[in-house]
Formats: sequence, structure tokens, C-alpha cells
Amino acid sequence: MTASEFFVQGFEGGNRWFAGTMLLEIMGLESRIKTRGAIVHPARGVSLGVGEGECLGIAGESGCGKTVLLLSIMRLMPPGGLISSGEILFEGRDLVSIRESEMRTIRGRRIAMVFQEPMTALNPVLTIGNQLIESIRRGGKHTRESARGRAIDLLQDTGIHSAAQRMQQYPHELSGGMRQRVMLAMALASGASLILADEPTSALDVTVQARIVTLLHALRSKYNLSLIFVSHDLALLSQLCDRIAIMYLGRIVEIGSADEIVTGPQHPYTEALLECAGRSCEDGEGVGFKEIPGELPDGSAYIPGCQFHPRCPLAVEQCRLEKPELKSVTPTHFKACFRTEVGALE
Amino acid sequence: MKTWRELNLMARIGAFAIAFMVLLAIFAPIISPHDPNAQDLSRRMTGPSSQNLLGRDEFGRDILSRIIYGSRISLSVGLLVTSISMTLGVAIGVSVGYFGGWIEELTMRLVDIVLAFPGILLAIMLMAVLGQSLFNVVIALCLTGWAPYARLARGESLSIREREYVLAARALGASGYRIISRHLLPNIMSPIVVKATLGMAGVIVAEAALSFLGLGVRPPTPSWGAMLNSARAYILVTPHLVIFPGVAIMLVVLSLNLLGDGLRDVLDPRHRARADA
Repeated sequence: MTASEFFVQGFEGGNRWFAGTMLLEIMGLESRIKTRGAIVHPARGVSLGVGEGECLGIAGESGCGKTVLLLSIMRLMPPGGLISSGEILFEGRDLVSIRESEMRTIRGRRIAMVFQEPMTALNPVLTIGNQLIESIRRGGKHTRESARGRAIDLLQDTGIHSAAQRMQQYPHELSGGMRQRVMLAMALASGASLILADEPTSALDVTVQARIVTLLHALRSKYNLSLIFVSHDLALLSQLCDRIAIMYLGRIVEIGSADEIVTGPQHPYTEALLECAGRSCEDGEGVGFKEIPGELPDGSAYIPGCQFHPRCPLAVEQCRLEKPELKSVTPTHFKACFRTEVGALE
Repeated sequence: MKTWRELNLMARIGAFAIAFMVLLAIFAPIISPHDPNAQDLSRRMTGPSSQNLLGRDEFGRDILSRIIYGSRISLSVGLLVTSISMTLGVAIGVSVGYFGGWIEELTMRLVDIVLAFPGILLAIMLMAVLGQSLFNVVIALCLTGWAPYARLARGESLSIREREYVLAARALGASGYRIISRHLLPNIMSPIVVKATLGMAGVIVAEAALSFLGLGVRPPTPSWGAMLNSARAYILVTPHLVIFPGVAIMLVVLSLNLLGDGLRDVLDPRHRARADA
């Protein structure tokens, strides 16, 4: 059994606790982006799955490949980027190999994406209604009139009052939270069953964040959505998500149910992320926030062994030489680390 | 409407002047006091009078009437050439700017070549080959006129296509055509409109130059450039023959430039920022 076979099998075991069927399965995804002077590897063998109606959170520092992972599911890699190996299975099709024209029927209609910056993700010269109606009509089933009605319904579903008036407004006339609601309405517009959310709340202030998360909860059950929610805020993810995957330098280093990740992290990186979020303050010891020592290496760097070892407080010789694979801690919880035993970090 | 309220005084004067001239051109048969081609050889080269406000030319034709009719040529050539070159140039520039690749490289080098070559020389050559007619003037000026629009549109598209809303639109399944028509075009129109307003002034001067060289519309059709040319011989004797058509050209070009500069201040965010500071 090769390492990658083991990886996939071990990982599939990790999905079995989820009773429903898998909607999206990423297997051994590797990608690279050619930039001036360097080749960046945003995904270095990522395997993940999202079940129907499930919400999967992905956490990690900026630059660890979260956003590019979402973009490669959409096949919208930045210029110079390509998926070099692996499969992305969605509704029986491999999104890596289908034609662009076929992919276009999936974007928006089956998988939709919500972006981080609600300020820049809407076209400034078109009204909200105009943009929304266009997304709805792209699904093909609506006339201009019926699309208008549906647009108002969608805006109301996303918690926008006096939707009919809002339709006439331009993006700059709305607040950030309002715009993010519009983005959500657009994502729902043509009936997608999987929403990829790229830090949709990071640009909003905290009270608005909470409201958007509540809204996402409501929309999930109403539309039976599956959700991949990318964020660096583990506290937020633990409220919203069923499972959380921790990503470091293009790899999944730990994955488990939200509860397991937050209360019993098994990877030193997860532990460090949780401490950054100020968890240690609750214990009464330690004031303020902790930092993870060192910096996130460049995406083009090759690090032998465990990629986290240069920054890891527990690293030993084995970590520098061998690459740890994801191994099960419990039937639902996997980690890629030699050093930690169950409960070792507690 | 919002744009109009923000326009400065000079730009509004320019806009009114152009509107006035367009009305003159449209209603030339009603407004002009005399037939522009009616000769009265007994009153050749007479100065301004109550009968002929701007005097008569070397064939005894009423200069005011000829200027009014001449505006039809200048304005229609200006409008036609500008709209055709703008449409062509923007379509080309936006598509290559969005799709990129070797076609973009090739197109932009072609634009460089066209821009490196003096446009009026090419137009003179083309007119010599094609022969004199209004239609050929338009063709000759369009052949070089599209290039600046293509360059501007491509540059603007390059910056717009990296915006997140374009990525968001693609993520929602929009096709290339959709993105160009709904997202790129509306967002690059401001600088294009400014350029077209200023460019139209250039086209009017170019048409006058061609007519002056005897390569424009065929006489006796009144055209400002041709009027300048035929009056050239009498410039020392009866300067009003030269002055009035010259002033007409200057007024149109000045008005268009005033309007163009004013529009730029309103529409171009870089200039607006400076005006606010």
C-alpha cells in the first residue's frame, strides 16, 4: 500500500461516521501555481469530503492554501495555476477532468461561492436587483418577472427588510453585512446544493458576524445545503460546523468533529491555533493572546518530514525525517503527528 | 443627471455650444439665410453686411450659409468616425484584455504599429487611393482611429478583470461573453466616454485637414477645410474668407475639449480625488 492509498483509505474511514451520502469528495489533490521565479504548491495531497447537508470547516493561517483549495473545487485557480493530480468527485463527476463548458453548468447551479470581501464582490455599477436577477435567470427556469419575485424572496430569506426597495440600490448604498447577505442570496439564486464560503465574515464586525452565522444556520436547514466554511476563527467554526479540518501548508494535519477539535486537539498546530484564539485566557492563566512561534513558510518551500516541525515545540528527529500520515485517534478523529498520544496535549 | 450637476461651468458651456451647433446642422435648410451654393459674381468677396452677416466668398456665395451647411459635414464625420472607431476599438480591446493569450500580444503590437504611424499621413494615402468622397473620409479616419480605443479598453479591462466581482461572477457560472458585457463594459465606459469626446475634436480637425488638402468631400459641397483652402489665395485681400471658417473649426474643437475635460473631472476617479483634495 502506497502512502497516498493509505491516506485516502484512512481518510475514508474518517467519513464513515457521517451517516448520509457524500456530496463532494476530494482525493489526493495536488496543485501548483507558477509565479515569477517560484512554483507554489497550495495543495500537497489534500483529501476531504463533505456529506449532504453537512457543514465542514477548514481552518489555518493565512497562506496555508484554504482559499486556493476552494477555488480549485470551482476550477477557478489563479492564472498559472493547475491541478497536477487528484480527483474532486461531485455528483458522480470528476471536476478535475470535465470540460470547461460542463464545469460552467456546475458553477452557480450546483456549487456556489461566497467571498471574503463583500465590498468588492459586487459589481459597483449595477443595482442589487439587477445582479441578483441575472444570477437567478442563469439557472434558466425563470422569466424576467418570475425572477424578480424570486429575487425578493431570496433577499427576505437572507434577512433583508424592504427587499423591493433594496433591489433598486447600488452596492455602495448598503452596509457590509447587508452586502454579504446579498452575496448569500446570489449564491442561493440558482439552486446550488453546496456553498463554498471563503471567510465570509472576516471583513465584518463582530456583531454582524454573529448574525451572518445565525443566518447561515437557518439557510442550511431551509435549503438543505452543504457548506464548506473557511476561516481562521476556530471559535466561529465550532459554532457552525459539524466537522473541522485543520490545514497547514497545503495539507490536512487534523480533522475531526467540531467538538473533538476544539476540546481535544491532537496536533500541536491545532493546539497553537486554539491558543492564538485566546482559549488560554479562560483558564485564568496567561494574559491576552499567544503567537505561534516562527512564520508560515513560503508556499514554494519544500520541507522534509513533518512540515510543521520547524515551528513545533514537540519536534524530534523522527519529525524531521519522516512524513506523518493521517491516523485515526477515534473513529471520527484523525491527526498527522508522531508525537502526540490521545490526550497528550491536554 | 448626476454627471450634469457635477460638471463645471466651462464644460456646461461646451455642452451647450455643441448642442447649439448640432441643432444648426440639423436645421440648416431652415436656418441658413441663403442657398450655400448660389453664386452672385457681382458681389464677390464683399465684407460682412446686414444682408450677408459674414460676407461673401470668391464666387459670391454667402459665407454664413456655407459655414452652417459645412457643420453638417464636420459633425457627421466626427460623430460617425468616433462612434465606429470607439465601437471597434472597445470591442477588440475588451475581448483581448479579458481572454489574453497570444492574440492579445498580436493585437497590441498591431495597435502599437498603427499608433506609431502618423494617422493623417495614412489617411492622405488612403484618400489618394480610394478617391474623394464622404464615405472614404470616414473609412480612412476609422482605419487609424480604433487603435487608441483598443489600447485604453484593454488596459482598463486588465484592471477590472482582476476585481473580485468578476471572480464572483465566474464562480456563479457566468460565461466570458456575459462577464464582458455585464461587468467589464459598464465599468470601463467612463474613461472611454472622455476619450471619445476629446477624440471627436481630433477627428473634426483631421477631416478639415483632408478637405484643406483637397482630399475631403468633393466641391462645391461646403466643408470648413475646403473653404479655408479656396480662401487661402485671398488671405491678404479679404481675410474674413479665412477667419470665419477657421473660427468655426476652433469653436467646435474648443467646445468638445471643454466638455471632455469637464467629463474627465467628473468621471475619472483619479482626477476627482485631486479635485477634492
